[in-house]
Amino acid sequence: MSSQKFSVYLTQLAEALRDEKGPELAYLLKPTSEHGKALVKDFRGNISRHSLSYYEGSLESPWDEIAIQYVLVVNSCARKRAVEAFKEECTLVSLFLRFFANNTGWTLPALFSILRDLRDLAFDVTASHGQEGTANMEEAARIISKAFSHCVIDRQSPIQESRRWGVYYVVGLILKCYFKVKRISLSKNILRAIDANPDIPPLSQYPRSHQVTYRYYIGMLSFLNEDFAKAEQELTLAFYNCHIDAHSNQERILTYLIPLRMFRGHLPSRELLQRFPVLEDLYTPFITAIRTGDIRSYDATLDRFERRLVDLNLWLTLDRARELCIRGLFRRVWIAAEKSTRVPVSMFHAALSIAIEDIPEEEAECLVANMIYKGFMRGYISHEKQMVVLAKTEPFPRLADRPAPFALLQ
Amino acid sequence: MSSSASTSQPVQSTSAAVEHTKDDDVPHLGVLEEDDEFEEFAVADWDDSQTDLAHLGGTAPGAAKSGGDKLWEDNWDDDDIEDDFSVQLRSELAKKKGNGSGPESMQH
Repeated sequence: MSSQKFSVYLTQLAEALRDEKGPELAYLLKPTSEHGKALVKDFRGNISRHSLSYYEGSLESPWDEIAIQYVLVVNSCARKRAVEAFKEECTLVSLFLRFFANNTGWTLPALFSILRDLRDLAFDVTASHGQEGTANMEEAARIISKAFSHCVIDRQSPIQESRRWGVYYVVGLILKCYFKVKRISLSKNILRAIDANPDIPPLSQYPRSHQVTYRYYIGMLSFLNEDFAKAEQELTLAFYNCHIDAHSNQERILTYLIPLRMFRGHLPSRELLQRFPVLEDLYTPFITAIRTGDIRSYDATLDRFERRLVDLNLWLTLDRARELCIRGLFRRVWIAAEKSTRVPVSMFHAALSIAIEDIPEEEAECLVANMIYKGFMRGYISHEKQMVVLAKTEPFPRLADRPAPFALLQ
Repeated sequence: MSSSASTSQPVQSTSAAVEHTKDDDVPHLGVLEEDDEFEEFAVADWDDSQTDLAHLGGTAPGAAKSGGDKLWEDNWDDDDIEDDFSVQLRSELAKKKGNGSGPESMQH
């Protein structure tokens, strides 16, 4: 059996390889492209590894096998066999890596493209096969990790043509896989491998799309591991380097960056929130409550959004940010007391009782002590006199001036 | 779920209805609702002018308004909030003052 179209395809592959055209190669290997569908049609249903073995040797190895493998992938996709398509793409990627390992960075566009396809096909299985899909996603991550190793170990290519320029994009894909199936603890090995390789160029020298994706995932990992200071740094850099037209990515970054910034006393400006109406709806009630010390409204908002916040892993963080609101309330007590340096505990107690509910006076005293301990208030409590003695200057330092704003969150 | 609620005791179906109302009340979080992820960028690289770095006027990201980044406010403590709570708070304070140091000395 033979196919006119397949012969043309082989020629196109050979040309792309000869001229070292990475993007062209990427295009030729895309399972969803029109030329792929046309190829499959041209074989008139007669597609199997066996029947295609006729073409072995038609291109320099491994490209004859890759070309055959490509037809098998497209065929599985066309027949909507998700599991099979994923398995065939795994083979295609493994074959490609044999070639990749001996070539320079011109091949990176093709690598990125087939790894993306691999991940997307694994995702299709996850969507239709549940638990089995999770295993496939981990398999995809394992194969992509091999590609990562081939990028890192490039010692021959001149630096500007190095495969090392693929490192961060590939790591971004691996992290995406782990996040998708909620196996983020698996990320550790790959991140350790980056740290262990001083030959990898600094992140800032990579294309911005690589930087931003990588920083987003590092920021999210730090957030989930409760390393909030690092999370805030990485997400800040991710946000500021993100393309402003990549609106949903910016929104995603800000979803986590806004609460982290709140702890630093940085509230998003109206201008910023207006660009992201979804975040404006979510965060405005919290921010208003923090500004005015309105604990009742803060609690009501926390309650109203509870399910969504839990889904986003944000509930605990916003529950902790309630302290910022209590600070606001206590500050208002001090203002009502005409900024006196001596405010009776009973005043704080009264304020809490009006704002939330009647609580024992000892509890109010305990909350004041806690606020002082955490640096939200400066002063001390005279327990015998039930008096809060506040510092003469800045008894309520600006939140932005608190050193180590994330230190006492646990 | 709604069918199981309707065949069970009335009490349960009421609570299901309440639950439902509460759900409707939850504002939708658009893109964050979907089980979606960080998207592929349409282009690989871009300059500062196509980012929010343009807001910073050359300063490093991480500051707020007083440090040159107008996207974040850091001076927002308000000494002049006038609402019911302020009124209640002041009247509470006046009461305390009216009682003098009575309650404090009584504790000893």
